[in-house]
Amino acid sequence: MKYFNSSHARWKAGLFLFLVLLGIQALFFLPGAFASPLTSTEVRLDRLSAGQDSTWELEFTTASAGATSLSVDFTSSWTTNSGTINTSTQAVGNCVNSTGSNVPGLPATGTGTGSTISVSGFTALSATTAYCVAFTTANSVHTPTAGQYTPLVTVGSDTKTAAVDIVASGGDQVTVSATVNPSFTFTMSAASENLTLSTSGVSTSGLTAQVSTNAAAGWQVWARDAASSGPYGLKSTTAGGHTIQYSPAAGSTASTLTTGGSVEGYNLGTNSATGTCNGGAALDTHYDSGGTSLKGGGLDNTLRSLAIGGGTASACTLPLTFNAVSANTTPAATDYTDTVTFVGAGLF
Amino acid sequence: MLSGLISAFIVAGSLLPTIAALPSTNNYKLNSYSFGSGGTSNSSTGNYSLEGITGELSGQTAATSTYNQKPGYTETQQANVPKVTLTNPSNYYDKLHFVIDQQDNPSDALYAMQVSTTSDFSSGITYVQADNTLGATLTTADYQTYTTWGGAAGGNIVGLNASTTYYIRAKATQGQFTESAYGPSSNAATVGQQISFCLYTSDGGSGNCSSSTHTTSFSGLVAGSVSSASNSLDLTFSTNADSGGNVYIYSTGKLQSTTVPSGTINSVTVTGGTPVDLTSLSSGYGAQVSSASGISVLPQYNGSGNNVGELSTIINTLLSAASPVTSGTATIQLQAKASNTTPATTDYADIVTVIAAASF
Repeated sequence: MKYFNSSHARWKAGLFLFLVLLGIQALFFLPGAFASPLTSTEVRLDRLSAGQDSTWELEFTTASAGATSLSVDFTSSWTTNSGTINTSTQAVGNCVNSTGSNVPGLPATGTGTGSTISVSGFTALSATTAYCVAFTTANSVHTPTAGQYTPLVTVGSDTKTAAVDIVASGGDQVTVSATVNPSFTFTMSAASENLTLSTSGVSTSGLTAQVSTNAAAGWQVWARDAASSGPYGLKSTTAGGHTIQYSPAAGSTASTLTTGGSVEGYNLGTNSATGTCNGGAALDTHYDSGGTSLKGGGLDNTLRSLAIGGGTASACTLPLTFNAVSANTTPAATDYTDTVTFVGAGLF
Repeated sequence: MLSGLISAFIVAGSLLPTIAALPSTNNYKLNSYSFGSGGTSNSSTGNYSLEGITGELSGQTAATSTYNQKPGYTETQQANVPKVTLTNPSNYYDKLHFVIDQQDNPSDALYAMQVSTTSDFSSGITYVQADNTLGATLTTADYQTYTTWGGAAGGNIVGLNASTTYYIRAKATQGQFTESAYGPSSNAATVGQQISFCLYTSDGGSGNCSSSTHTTSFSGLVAGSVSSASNSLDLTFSTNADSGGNVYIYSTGKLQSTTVPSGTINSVTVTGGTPVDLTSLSSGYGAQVSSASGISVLPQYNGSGNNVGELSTIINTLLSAASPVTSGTATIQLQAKASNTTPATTDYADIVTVIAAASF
């Protein structure tokens, strides 16, 4: 037993000497421990403004292979100058618009502690390869006061100190304002139309009113008879001042002229608008023909609404049709004339 | 662990002084000697010289692979002690520049450089490795010729710590000559990692980069016409990052009216990096770098006339440099065009964010 103890003591002494020598050898003869530097290491905060919550991205190129964790220490100067790190949630993901590769097996979240954000548990990275990681929690970091800060990036055993420049509050943004001037154009396709009346009825063809406007609230088109007083309609001077009056009279719901020679009549009809009529073009029921031949409404010397647009318009085209029917007793003449004024306006 | 122990003993053994009967130092050993008549005085070749005097023995030569004894007076031959200069010419944070002064050593002389963070080389000793990094050990591979170390242009020691003063000194060896002692030291300091970014608008000048209110406006967009914003966006950018840096731009992606929800002028959409001509669109909005210095403009923002790049919610690279940037500047012009159906209103707005990052 005594012999055993003596041997054991020598064994321990030998082991101690061995460990001491091993340590000395490591201290003096093994290469020094030099951490490999990461390259192309970029900490890109999405906001550089002081006192601002920010997402950010980390880009780096590895030196060595095998890293399964990374961290960025924004350092104590960050936190002592009112900067913070979100210690509750650190969502991570792949970068947008980056030339760096996605980190394989990247977990959905990282950890924020003190001034450091860490991500671990991803698949081992390759050597000399560019990677990018996005930290997408809206307040992943809260920027400190203006100044330069030097976060330390560690990927596995590779390290690099980067730098970010925090600018004055709001100093990374420009507020852009703009005014769009109002515009409105109103175009009649023709200044005159000619009708040759008959007892079976006749209509003009191709007459339109066209509106283009950037009036957000829309637009409106009106019409009125130019005569200062009634009766309103097609009037002939040579026929003793005979007037083929509007049928129906102004203010009445649109109706269809009666053919066959028993009665004469005259009206203005509208139909569905074409073109870019944002918000639609609502036809007034007093003139809406619905596509029915000889259907329309009457005018007087008051502006009567024909259609209302619901928004901006680009070449919004409103078809207009003058309809007329003569009766057997309508005096023959070539100078039946009526002047109608059309008006359009934007509702800005 | 056993191999570690053995190697430790071996190395320790190698440090034991050599016991010899004949005179020797660490640099030479006299194998034999005798006395006799003298030889020829002052003979020499390109690599050695003989300092013999009359009366000393002639014809008795001895040589090994590392020394050569000639009759008469024997002079130890050493390479001349070289100098080396260390500088930081351009705000380097992780490297310093050295240039070796050969001190008339022949072109096949080899030089090794020792580096320390203390002026008396009492600690933090490292050696410039063949790949210009620092290492704890000096091997024969780290002895290189003047030409290999960069000649008169010198080279950079890389992988250094920021904001640190380094001291350097060099020694030389040549042929069979004894290695010289280290020459005088030179020192230089790395600086810290640096980045500086300032955004301002043309109405305020560079002095307003600390302002919190940068504004520009399109005072009256006319349907169908391209307009430029009243103020350009100007910036300065500098960094000593080895891989340069980037300036990025993004916005809400549109000019949007608050009072008229349908009032929107969307940013152009760029594909393939080619700027979009606003004149070919009914409406649109974008940015163009009208001038830049010291930093390159990404293609989509490098258009002329009414060709612009996008202002989207995606953070796009606006400017880029692959090497350190000194006093980089750029001017960004915003352009917009309204269509004839873009609602007329006075409260269109967007916020353009411009950020910078350096690649260390």
